[in-house]
Amino acid sequence: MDSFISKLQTALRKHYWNRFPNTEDNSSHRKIRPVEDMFEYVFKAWNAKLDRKTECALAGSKLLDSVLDNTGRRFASNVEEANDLYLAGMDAASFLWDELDETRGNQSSFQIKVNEIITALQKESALGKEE
Amino acid sequence: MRNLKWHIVAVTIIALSLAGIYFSTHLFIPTSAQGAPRIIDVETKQFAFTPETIHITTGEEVIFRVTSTDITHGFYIDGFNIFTDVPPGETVEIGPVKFNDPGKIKIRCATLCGPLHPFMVADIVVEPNTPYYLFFAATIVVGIGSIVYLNKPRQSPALLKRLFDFEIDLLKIKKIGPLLKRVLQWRGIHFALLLPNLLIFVIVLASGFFGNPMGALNFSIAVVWILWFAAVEFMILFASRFWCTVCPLPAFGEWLARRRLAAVHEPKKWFSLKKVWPKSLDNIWIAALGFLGISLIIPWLVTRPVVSGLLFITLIVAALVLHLIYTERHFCLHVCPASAYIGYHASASLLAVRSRDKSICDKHIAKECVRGGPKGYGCPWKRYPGGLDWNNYCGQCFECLKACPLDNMTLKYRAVDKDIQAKTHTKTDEAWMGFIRFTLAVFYELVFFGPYFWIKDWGNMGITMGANLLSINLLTPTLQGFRNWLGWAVIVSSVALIIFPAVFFVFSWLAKRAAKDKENTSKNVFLAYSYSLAPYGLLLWIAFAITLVAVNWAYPMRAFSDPFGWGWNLLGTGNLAWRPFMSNYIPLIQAPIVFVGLVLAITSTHRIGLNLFKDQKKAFRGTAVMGALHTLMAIIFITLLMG
Repeated sequence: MDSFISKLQTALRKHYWNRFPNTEDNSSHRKIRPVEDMFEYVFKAWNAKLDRKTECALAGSKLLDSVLDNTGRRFASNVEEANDLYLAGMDAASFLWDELDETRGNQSSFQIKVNEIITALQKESALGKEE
Repeated sequence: MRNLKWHIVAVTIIALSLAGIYFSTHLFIPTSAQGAPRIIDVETKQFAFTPETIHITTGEEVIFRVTSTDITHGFYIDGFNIFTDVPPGETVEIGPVKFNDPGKIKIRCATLCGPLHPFMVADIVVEPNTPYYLFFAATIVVGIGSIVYLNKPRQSPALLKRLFDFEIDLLKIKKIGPLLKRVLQWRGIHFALLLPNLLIFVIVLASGFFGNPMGALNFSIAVVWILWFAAVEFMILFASRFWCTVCPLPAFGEWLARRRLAAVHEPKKWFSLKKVWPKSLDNIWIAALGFLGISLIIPWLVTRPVVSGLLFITLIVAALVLHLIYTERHFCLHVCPASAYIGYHASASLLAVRSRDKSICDKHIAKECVRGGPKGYGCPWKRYPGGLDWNNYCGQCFECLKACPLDNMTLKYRAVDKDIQAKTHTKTDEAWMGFIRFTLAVFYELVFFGPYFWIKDWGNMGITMGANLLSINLLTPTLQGFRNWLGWAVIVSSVALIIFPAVFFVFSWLAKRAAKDKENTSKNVFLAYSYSLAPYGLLLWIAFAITLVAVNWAYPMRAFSDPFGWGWNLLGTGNLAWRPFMSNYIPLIQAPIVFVGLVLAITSTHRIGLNLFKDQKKAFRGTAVMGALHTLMAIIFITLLMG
């Protein structure tokens, strides 16, 4: 779990969190909104009984797309940004997909996992701000 | 300096040829024949004039004594304001008519007389047929000139480079580019473009089944087989597969499979079995043979509304079923006859969807253009858009433009032979698509605008009646009619599938020998050279389309006002008189188009030769041999048009 969280943290810090100037609304909720969007997508896809590989890849794209939306952009700045966010998103989605498989789609245990990840990310984003 | 000299020579030759054509047709006219006007008896019947070809001397005065052996026909001569009815049992005298301009012109039936009426023509050859002789000579000059020009590698002058070797990123043009990008990336654009077309299609089907059985009076024939048929050829050249963007045939299947009209991925199951398309059918053989098959019944298809209606319904059902089994656009890729030829020639189109920088696409891991993403579906044509270098299989759905998060996909306007320059692989099915299309351009010109009745009659199975769903039984042919059609089908198929490819193979084999090449197999050289037919064939079809529209434009205009042929006049064009547009000048417009096709074929052949042999000298030798064949083909086409 730690490895994908750290990958996600690195990608978000590099390509998302550092885009918030101090003057802007940089509430912690906004900082984790792309991750929430992605997890919501995974949950819906799992419940629709779709293909794991395809949907986890799509979840990776969803993370990038949400980051772009939240930074008011239509396109990524470069391939590195697109790749980092995609891969981090895909790994996180795969982890959660497996969790859903294990708990047979139990929403409360899924929500616990999501909260754990989000808390870790919020901590990191706050640290990023302090830095 | 040397280059400049060559260009001066080339321009001088072209200028002299054009001046020669003008002066010989207008100044050196033989003195007119003496005495009373010559009387020429012309007999009309469904759908022929007898004699089929009339020879007249320039300056001669002629009186046509016209009779009809069956129903009322009309008599119109290109370039003369003569529109006369010829009722059965009467002898109508037309003239005296004085023929001052040498050349070939057409007599056309001017009164609706049955399904093949628009194609009831005869030839008048006003001797000496100097325009033909001059264009014949000009064809040879253009052919040899193009080959000689390619003798040495040259740096094209700036003007030529700008005309023939350009590439413009349309989405980066100031002001227009960003607007176009927004439009193409809007999810609703596909649906918005499709919707009006879908409504038209409903009218096509309804009129096909229940409208007037006479093709010329029916929307399904007049709009589809005159307007659409011609427009698509121009569309291919200027807008590539734009027709596929707005084609309603696969729409139902796609909407049903995706379970949405315009929106993109949401976590929902597709309504499809998602089967894998069989590997043995991963080609365009079905589509290419389908196009040939449809062409074998073309005299029926383009004149009988019910036949068109049945074809469209069959295609829609096929598209729907295939979508539900295989999900993606396998119908368009492998089955649709129109898609096959549009795709084949689209490689010679000015427009292309391409990546801005291939290396970015290669580095990009997610490849939303293939898999799909939050803003766009993955390529429904099962391609990797980032690596596209060939227009054949890009359906211009613009999903890759929407899906790409890197803004690396764009729309390019480029020189017509860019794809051929980049072509690295050859395919037998594509080569045969080229042979079929090229052969059929000649056959269509012969069937529809040639004077030879037997060709039309054999293809038509001797039937004189039009038909909708209620009178479909009228299409039952006699045994003799069916036998004739079988003969016609064998002739057309043999030429398209065997004879022309065989001739092409012999020439490509000779080209390989002339190039003294030992690296490539004969088959590889043959297949590679066949791609020169993509631009050439397209230009021949454009030449054909010009006649189709210039002569018959009034029928679609009428059909817009009266789609069912029931006497309506919704838009005020329902009673528009049939008046061909500049029909006596059509060959003079067509011939230069054929020349452009010839030049493109020869330059493409040379590019292919350079790719194959990696040596200028060898490429030139190969081009010289293949250029001779291309020139010969142009002469045949020019002879059909003017001889």
